[in-house]
Amino acid sequence: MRRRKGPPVHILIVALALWFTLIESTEALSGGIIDATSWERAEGLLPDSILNWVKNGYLVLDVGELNYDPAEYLPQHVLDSLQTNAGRYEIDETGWIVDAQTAEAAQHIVGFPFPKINSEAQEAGEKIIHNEVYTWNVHGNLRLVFQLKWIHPSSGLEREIDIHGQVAVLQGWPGIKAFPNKALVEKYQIVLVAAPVDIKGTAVMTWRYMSPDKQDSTFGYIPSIRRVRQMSPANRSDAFVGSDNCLDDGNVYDGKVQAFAWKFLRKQEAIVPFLDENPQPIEQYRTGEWCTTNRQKYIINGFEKEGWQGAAWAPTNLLWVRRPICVIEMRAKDPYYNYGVQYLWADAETFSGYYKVIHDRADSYWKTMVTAFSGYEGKGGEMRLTTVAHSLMVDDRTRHATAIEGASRRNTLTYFADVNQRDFTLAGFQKFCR
Amino acid sequence: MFRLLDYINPLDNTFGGPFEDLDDRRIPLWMLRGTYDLGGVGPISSLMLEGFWVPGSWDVRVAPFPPVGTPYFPPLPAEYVPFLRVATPDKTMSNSRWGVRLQGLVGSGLNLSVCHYKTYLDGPALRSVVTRNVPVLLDLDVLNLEASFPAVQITGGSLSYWESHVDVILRGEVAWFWDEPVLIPEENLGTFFGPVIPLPPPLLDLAAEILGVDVRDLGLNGIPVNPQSGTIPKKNILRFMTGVDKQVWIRPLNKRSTFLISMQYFGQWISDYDEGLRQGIALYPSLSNFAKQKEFESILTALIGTNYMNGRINPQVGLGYDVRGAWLLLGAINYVREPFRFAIQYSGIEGNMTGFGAYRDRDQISFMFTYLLN
Repeated sequence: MRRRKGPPVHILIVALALWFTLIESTEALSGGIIDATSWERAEGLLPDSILNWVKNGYLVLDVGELNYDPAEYLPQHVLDSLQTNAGRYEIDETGWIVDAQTAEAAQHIVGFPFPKINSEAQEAGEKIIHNEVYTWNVHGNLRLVFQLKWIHPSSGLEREIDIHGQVAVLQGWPGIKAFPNKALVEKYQIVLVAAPVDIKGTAVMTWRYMSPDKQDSTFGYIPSIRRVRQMSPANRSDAFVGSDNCLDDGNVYDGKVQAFAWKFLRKQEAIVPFLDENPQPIEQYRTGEWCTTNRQKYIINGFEKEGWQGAAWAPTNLLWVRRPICVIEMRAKDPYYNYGVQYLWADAETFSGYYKVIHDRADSYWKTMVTAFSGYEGKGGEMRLTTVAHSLMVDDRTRHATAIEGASRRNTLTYFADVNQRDFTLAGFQKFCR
Repeated sequence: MFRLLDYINPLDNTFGGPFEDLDDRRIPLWMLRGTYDLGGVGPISSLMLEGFWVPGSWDVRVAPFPPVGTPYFPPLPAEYVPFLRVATPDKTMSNSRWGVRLQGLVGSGLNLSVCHYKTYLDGPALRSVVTRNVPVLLDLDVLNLEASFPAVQITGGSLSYWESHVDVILRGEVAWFWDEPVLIPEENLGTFFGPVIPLPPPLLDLAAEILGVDVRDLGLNGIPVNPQSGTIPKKNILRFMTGVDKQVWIRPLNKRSTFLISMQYFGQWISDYDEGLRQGIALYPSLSNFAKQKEFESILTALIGTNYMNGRINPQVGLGYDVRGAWLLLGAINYVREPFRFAIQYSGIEGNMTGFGAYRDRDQISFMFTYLLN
């Protein structure tokens, strides 16, 4: 039998399939709506759970392009760190971030500690997560006002809690050199419930240490007994005030990096949520603080949009764009942790964490967290940053969700905030306890 | 239910009594309060000095005396009522409440404080008062039962510590109550323990009929001669508490949230103990028989709670045990549906008439509905 000349038929078929896939993918990302009728266009570009939301009509994706590059919307010291910190730090066998030259614990890290990561290296996942944690730290001290919203899939908003917070960040930004840090603290944080009135005044202060072995120090003020008490820092997977989030879910992951085993799985392209195609305005106050304004775009949730057919918790006006991401597997070292394996999808360039897919202790799928980001820009481009604009945790077993309203016209988020470090002593904390 | 170092604000027990939330019973006071950050001293970090002052000319409110017949007070014999006079402190600067506290952190886990303050206790001091000198107590109009509120000074300390190996919060408090008014019937009610002119039973029967009070119920067999007012004896009393809090996963019952388990032991020791010491509540219906106050008293409490349905349902169960044989059981469920709060609570007390056992016939089921305005 004589063989035909030219490429075999099966290669042609594969090539054609690839070409069509490319066309489909390009079509999806060049703009347009992806909904229950066209969910296949997002296949492979989203975690399966989110793809199912689209497939089931809970969520509709408005796919487009950003008019700016998030990788350039970083404070100057972060952009500088992409060069200056390359190869400067390592992680030692105990989990400390150490100076690569001296092997001594790094104390004044400015910018991302690991801007260049070899994805083949064993510690690649851990380094990406350190960078992800520093996406908050690089913005200096913070003053935050946000709302935690309990959302029923059909009836909408069930409950809302107003939370005020302030964070003294002692790693990641140039101002840290002005602060004494003998205790090697990574950050101090105070979170205060401002409404509703029955739990108003509840406050928690946390000291997060750089040492891998040293657990957080946590102090709570309970208005009914008017006492500041030590609290256990160990139960970080417990539901936070009954919401769908736990403490570790803050900003996708807000626990100690060393509390988990991390594994880099793959790098891929994904479509991820952004607030808008354009960066949002921020203004500088005379104190030097940078604050969001009431001119910024705000999220419209499904329950707030007339005629919306999807889930009440679905954000309806986000822009979904293509970004390179890394998928990291995370598993708690604590045997009592309430989650099993989790998969975190973080930006390969800005290290922003977009998605977290959470499984239960039997490794059966449970919840997905979605975080939308936005670039912010001061007048004349003097300050640029990319940070969290909206966060959503959906429990796919109950279809219940908890959203965190960050960027909105009623909330001001302050970066490089003028925060007094003495507020984070017991005496300072007492001022917030009323 | 039990307070050691947080005796600054008086409690309004006239509705709900000990079954109500402490925070709902607390009476606000006008006060000046200040905190000074001392920084770190030696091994102690976050050292702070805190003080408060409630000027007596502004505010000397004390716990209101529960109205007669209220279910939120141990039964008060009706015979006492006409004689009862409640004497609250005068609004003078010398009656100011004040206090200081020094608090700090040893290492990163041991939170310590020491304090000293002056306040008024919620339980009044009782004594019989003869309002004018009479040779014999024939006219009961000269007799009062006075409930007053002498100031008490308290010195103490507290600690809380997170023990990482077993993940528990250890808590402790110790308080020394200086010269706290106590009840020794022979002294507080001395009017009835002096010399008497003995009367035969028929005459005592007649007197009971005329006066409406059978003086035999007060332990008398005749008419007091040269009656004198009672005095208020005082003792130094040590009270202390140790407790543990632990959050545990009980996944067969709740897969999403932990259970908070809190256990406490309260102890009390009376220095210079007197065998005549009695608890301040007559053993109903007796007028003169009071439960004995022991040199050492102990109470154990436990509380467990969790939340379901994304925090909208919050059940909790509490248990108290006075080792002298009184049990307290509390069960409550709170339900949140914005902007409403619904609560149903059961409180039951069984056992001997001692300590909280004085409420043993006051089991209750309560419903509470709250509408939040903001």
